[in-house]
Amino acid sequence: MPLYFLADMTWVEVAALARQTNVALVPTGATEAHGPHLPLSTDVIIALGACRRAAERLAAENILCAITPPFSYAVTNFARSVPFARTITIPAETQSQLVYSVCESLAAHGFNRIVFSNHHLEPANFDAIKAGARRATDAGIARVAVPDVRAPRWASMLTEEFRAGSRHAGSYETSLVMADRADGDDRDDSEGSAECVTRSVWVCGFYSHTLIPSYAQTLKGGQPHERKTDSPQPTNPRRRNRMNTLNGLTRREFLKIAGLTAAGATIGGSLLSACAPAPAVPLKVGVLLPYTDIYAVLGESITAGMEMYFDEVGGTAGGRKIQLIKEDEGTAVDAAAQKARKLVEQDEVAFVTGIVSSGVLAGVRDYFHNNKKLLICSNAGANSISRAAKTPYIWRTSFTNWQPNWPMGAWAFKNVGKKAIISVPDYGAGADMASAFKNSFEAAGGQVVSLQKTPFPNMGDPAPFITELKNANPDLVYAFYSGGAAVTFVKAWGSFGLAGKIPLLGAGFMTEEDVLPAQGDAALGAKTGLHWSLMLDTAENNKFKDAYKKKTGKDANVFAVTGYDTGRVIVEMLNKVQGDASKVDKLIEAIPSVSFTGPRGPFTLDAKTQNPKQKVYLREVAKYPDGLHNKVLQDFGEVVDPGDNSKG
Amino acid sequence: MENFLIQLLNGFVSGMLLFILAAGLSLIFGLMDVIALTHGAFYLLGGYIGLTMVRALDSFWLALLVAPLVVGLLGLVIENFFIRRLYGRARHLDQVLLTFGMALITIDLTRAQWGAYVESVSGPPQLAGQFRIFSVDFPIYRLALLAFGLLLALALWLIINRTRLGAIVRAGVSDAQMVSGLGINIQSVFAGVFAFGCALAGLAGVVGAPILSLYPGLDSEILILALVVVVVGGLGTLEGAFFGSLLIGLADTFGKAFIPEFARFLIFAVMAAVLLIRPGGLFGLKGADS
Repeated sequence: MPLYFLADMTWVEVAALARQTNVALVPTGATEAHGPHLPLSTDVIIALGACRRAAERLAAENILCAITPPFSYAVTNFARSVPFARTITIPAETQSQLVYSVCESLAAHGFNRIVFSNHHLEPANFDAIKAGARRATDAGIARVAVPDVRAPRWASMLTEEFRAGSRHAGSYETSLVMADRADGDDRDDSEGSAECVTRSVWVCGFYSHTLIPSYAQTLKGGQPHERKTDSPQPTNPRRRNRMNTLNGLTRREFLKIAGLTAAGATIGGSLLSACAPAPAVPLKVGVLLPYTDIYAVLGESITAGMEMYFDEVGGTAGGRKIQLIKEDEGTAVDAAAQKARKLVEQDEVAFVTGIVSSGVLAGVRDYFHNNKKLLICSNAGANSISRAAKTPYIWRTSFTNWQPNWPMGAWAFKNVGKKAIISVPDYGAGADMASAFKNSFEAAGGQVVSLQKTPFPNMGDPAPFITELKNANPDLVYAFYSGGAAVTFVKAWGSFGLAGKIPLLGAGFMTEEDVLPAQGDAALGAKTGLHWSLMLDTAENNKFKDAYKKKTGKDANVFAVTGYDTGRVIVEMLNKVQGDASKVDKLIEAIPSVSFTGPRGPFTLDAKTQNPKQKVYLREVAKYPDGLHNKVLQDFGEVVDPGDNSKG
Repeated sequence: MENFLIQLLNGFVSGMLLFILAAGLSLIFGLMDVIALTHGAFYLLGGYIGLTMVRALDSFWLALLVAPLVVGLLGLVIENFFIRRLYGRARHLDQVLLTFGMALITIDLTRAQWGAYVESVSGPPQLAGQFRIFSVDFPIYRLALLAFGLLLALALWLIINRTRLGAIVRAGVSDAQMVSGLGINIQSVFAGVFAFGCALAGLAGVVGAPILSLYPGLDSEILILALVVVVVGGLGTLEGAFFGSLLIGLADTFGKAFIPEFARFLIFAVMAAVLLIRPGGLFGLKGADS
């Protein structure tokens, strides 16, 4: 198969070649020290090797490439700071100008699809080359691509060492040089290291291939060759090229080449570990939960529950290992939103799960929606996410704030009293919960005398609120508090002697297992609605709570249950897509069909609200031999969020 | 009317609780010109030590003794090895960075030791139950807290203004070199003041735990409250801390009771108003000019 090295050809031959192709590959490297074992031209050797192999590949597909003489000098700023002998450096402007001028000349001779195969990976050098290439592209001279092996999608095909950033003179570069030299003169049998090279080539080839979809079309469709330059794109043309890349190369072609490289790896034998075939890449899942501040226990519990489920299935789903990348949600919306971006953009997770605070959920909603990234919310119950602010990209495994409170209203009117005061913290979740109870309580015939809104997140001394409640003397008080506020509120309720005098009802979070021990007897008799209780006597729940206690030494709570169920939803979703989480649409398609009986009872996801359909239980705080727990008094049956604000 | 009087009582209790929280911070700042951002963390640490004591020995009174001792000792160590190096520096930034770092470390250590669960300490059985005022069963513990706050304020005032030790400390603040010249070891006096201020934070942690509970994040709530009190009262005067506490406590209580929607901002509104009228705080001696 003929290869076309411009340096070895006469001008007549080059002119003839230019009539057949408009593709040029430009190898670029440096003259730089590469440890005591490699030549100064290491980068140049690698770049040339990569271009040669890419040209071979492309020729097999009837796409010819001209290979220009390599750039042998580069921006090597390291040479200035560290006294590496024999390193030659040029200023960034020079490099950038050189790239531009070479493009200009090549284009003038008919090569206006140009790929720079750069293997001196210093950021400043890459930037300079990219800057020159961009100028040439923007000026409409040629379409120029500078594939970047450091980009995660390519780096992920290379070794761990490379991804970790050790890219200079280590086994990566050494093996490539050895492979290239071995090609020339059979000095050793490092045939297998071809894998490394082919991977590198693949990166280069991939780009050059896709740069020229119109050209490939020309070849196939027999259109006139004169159509050399496309009119420059009004917006960033380089970006456009990349888009073409994704569309131009078919998945089949990709798999074919990937298959070839994998086969190459098995031939090897005596090769450096750098070229060992990479094991199946773990699937990265972003976990955004609070591990500090007032919600820390919630974050800990959800994580423990979720990890418990992953452990049960051997830590894999759809054939891939699950790797959790955890970030602290904290309590501040802005900081949490930044962490979400970090998980998606920097860690490149397949999807994100977590979010305890409704405020944070509202704050990241647009980000996930606009970026078409999946978020599986494992706590925050903001009603709006299942209603007006619904997006295909957020699914919830927890609850809407409406759910646990709705059945309580009618029940309270029938069984407790006609006049109620509601006391909730002054933020979104408090308003949601209050509104659900108020609607059903008043629909049944009751009257909500007043709505007490307390400062959030820091309630401070609750005495003034308790005094007001006492002073109003209602038939019942309906409250929603959680975490520290739940303990402070219920303790004050007890210390002012109201426990047992005014019935205290509420959303189950107020007397959940995470706060009950600290509340002590003040909580006795409080009746709450929730989709789970530790005392729920089902086979699934008993198994779950025993396993949780064994694992963590603590009683389970509703957050741990949600974490556990979230783990299960994730695993079953990934099983359905066979571990391929690359397409968000496929994931979203798989989620609603997940259905099982878990610790809280039958669990199905409602496709309309993207939130669980689940039972809600009436519970009462009672004494057990090992302390206070929520006794299950009644099963309210399945409660499904209405999907709009018609019922509160 | 009855409700108003009960809320007034709530306001005084809340004010005294604030005074107990803020006294140590005010003392350290007033006498040593050091901004101890460790205050919230030491409050929480004191509370947790108290929790452990109550659980292990079932004695709130012992907790009340041990927690301030331990936290005070920790303060002594910190003063001796770290804070001491920063005396005489014109800017407060160094102290702020140092004590903030210490606070973060302390919080992480308490988290490691006591976990993230919300905890609560029960008051002593002698102070359990309620005392009937009008038709309200008012918790005896809160009444005791009111008395304790008043006693503490009186004791501190007497120590600072009526004892030789107080005179030395006050003199040391004005001119440390002169005091040294008189043959007094000013270093150890300052160390003692710092340790005492920290001990007060630890004490507040135990006293406050039955009302405010204990949980990660409480430290910053406490620190902010204490700073507000100190700023409103006037940077670094005991009288300021006392009356500032009462003002904030009353404002907070009446805000919560009668305009709950604004309760969250009310104490800051009061702070802003005070600073507008008297930039140095109610009893401010310094701060206005710096």
